[in-house]
Amino acid sequence: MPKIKDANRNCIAVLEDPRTARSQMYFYGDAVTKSSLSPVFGKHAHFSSSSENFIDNHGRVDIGDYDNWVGDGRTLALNKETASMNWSTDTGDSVSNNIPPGNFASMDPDRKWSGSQIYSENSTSMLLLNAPGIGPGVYENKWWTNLNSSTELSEIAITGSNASNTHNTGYHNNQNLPGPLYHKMAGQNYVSGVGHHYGGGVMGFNGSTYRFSQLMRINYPNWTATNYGTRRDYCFFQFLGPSTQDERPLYLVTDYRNDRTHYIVRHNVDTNNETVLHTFNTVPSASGNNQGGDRDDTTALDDQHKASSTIEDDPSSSGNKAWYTPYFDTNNNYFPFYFQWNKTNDTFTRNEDVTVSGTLSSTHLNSCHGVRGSTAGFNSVIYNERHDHNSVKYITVFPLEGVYQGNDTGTGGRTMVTYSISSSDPKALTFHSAETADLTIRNVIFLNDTKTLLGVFHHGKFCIYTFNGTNGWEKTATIPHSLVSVGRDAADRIFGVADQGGTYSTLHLITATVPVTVTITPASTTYDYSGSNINSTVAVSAYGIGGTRIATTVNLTISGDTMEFSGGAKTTSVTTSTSQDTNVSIVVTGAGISEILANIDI
Amino acid sequence: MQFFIYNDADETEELADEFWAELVDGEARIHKVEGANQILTDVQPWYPAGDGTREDWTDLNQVIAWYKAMRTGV
Repeated sequence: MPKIKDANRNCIAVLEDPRTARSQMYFYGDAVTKSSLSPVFGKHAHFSSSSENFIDNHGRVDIGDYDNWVGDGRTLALNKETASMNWSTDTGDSVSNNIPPGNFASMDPDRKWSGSQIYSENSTSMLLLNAPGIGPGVYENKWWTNLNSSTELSEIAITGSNASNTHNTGYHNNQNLPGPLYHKMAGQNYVSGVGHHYGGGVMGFNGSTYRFSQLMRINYPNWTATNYGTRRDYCFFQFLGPSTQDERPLYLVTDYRNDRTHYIVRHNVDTNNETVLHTFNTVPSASGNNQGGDRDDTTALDDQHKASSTIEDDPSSSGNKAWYTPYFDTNNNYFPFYFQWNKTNDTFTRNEDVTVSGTLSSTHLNSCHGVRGSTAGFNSVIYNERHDHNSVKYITVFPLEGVYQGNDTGTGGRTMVTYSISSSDPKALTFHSAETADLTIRNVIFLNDTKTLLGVFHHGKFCIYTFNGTNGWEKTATIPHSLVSVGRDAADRIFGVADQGGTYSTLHLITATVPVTVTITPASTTYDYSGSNINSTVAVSAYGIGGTRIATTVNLTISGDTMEFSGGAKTTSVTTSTSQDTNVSIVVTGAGISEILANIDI
Repeated sequence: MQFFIYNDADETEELADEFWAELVDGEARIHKVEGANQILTDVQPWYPAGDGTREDWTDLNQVIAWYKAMRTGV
């Protein structure tokens, strides 16, 4: 995993301009050429409109250690899926245990949330860096208004900013706090998003915290005011997308205290109020192996937030949309709701008659911690997401847990369960596979557009899984670092940020074309030297993060006096193959131990 | 009709949010009261029943019960 840069943590590690035509991006504020990642000397993003202070001009206000306050938009602001984990070692009811949901907060495939956003209409525009905050009192937003389309971010200072880092500075009254932003309603000078509510107390240490629990709108194109909507304590707002009827944004609201209370809410951005299109809270009835009712909230499963899948075309209703929302029956088995969105009139249907054949989820998923009080009210999430593989539809249930080592014990809180979906009936699921992660799953991220390459955040390491139709998710690489944020840019380059303690972090490039594993296998496990040279070979292969072979140049060096490459050299280079081992000739010239060391040129 | 939503278990009005509910031509409207100001926060032309259907409102008590349940209950 190539390290690109050491830097101070209080900066955005990578900022990708959401205007894809621009040629620069920014590593810790310093400009680089987007195509080659080579430095643009003397240029940096102007994150301050007045100060010459380095930190002010490179990124973020000091928010404290990564292990408490890392989060969406603070480390990576990229154009494709990006996810973060909290790196706290706190095991209790602490805001630092909450899960940053930026990767699944929006269900609209065309409007996924990003830390860098661009909104425009006619001759106006707003380029927004949106860091929605992990805990109460921690958020930061910066924006450029009416930026010339050809102007790089290194050429002009921001128009404005707002920020707070009052998470541990004494008592604060109850207050609303800005969160993620998603959509500008056409013809209206507002952007719609979701805010938090803090109930008052010593920030970060006590007091209720309701995250992503109310609508908000901000002024466009200059964020001069914020309006908050109706609080729904204990709920999680996910963005559905704009109505095709009137462009007003729609949201799915899910109450975590049971699995069956949902609201579809329309944000009347223009008039600064809202309307509930539908409420669904009836208790599902038993049918087949679905026992209906409410899941157990004291053992096995607890109160987890539920995160629904990305919206997709409804195969049973042309022109309309659908998604899956996790629901567990009274026996704690997964029978997701299948929601349908009639786009012609914005009516929604919740189908409770999804069937599951084969092994039920409680066999594998039966020991999850729930949310820890109200301060850590977003530390536990059950997230289900769809993907296709070889024209077969699949859905996987991911148990996410923000508390340090929260689900390490046993396997029932860290197993990912996958189902196939009938091609003719989206409500007919069949158990496909289960894969137990090494440790508590603190978040997940899809690393390719087809969602067949998965990154899993753990404390201490980051694991990569590849999906195959036979065994489902299989681990293909392990990166031995606590990566606090991982994401992809528009060119599908994968970046990772690792905490290095103190105020330091490092930026890494995890690209599919760069090997993470090189194997060197001798033709024989031992050689008996009896005075004559022995000619033999070693097989060399390189593998990428997906576990597939990569053709690359591997530099080999022999350490020791008892072996050499053909011709007597101690070093050589070999190009590996995408289909088979590449053999390199060696000569054993004496008795004793020699080693072959490998390195890669990038 | 005035009503409160309490933010603590003791239900003290100092820690409550004050609202005003009204029915206008069959449409429920919820206003949040902040000092002398009333801010219209919810416009609800129908009662969103729990089974996903929509019904006409019956009276203001139903409006208030609906809003309180949505804010704090399940």
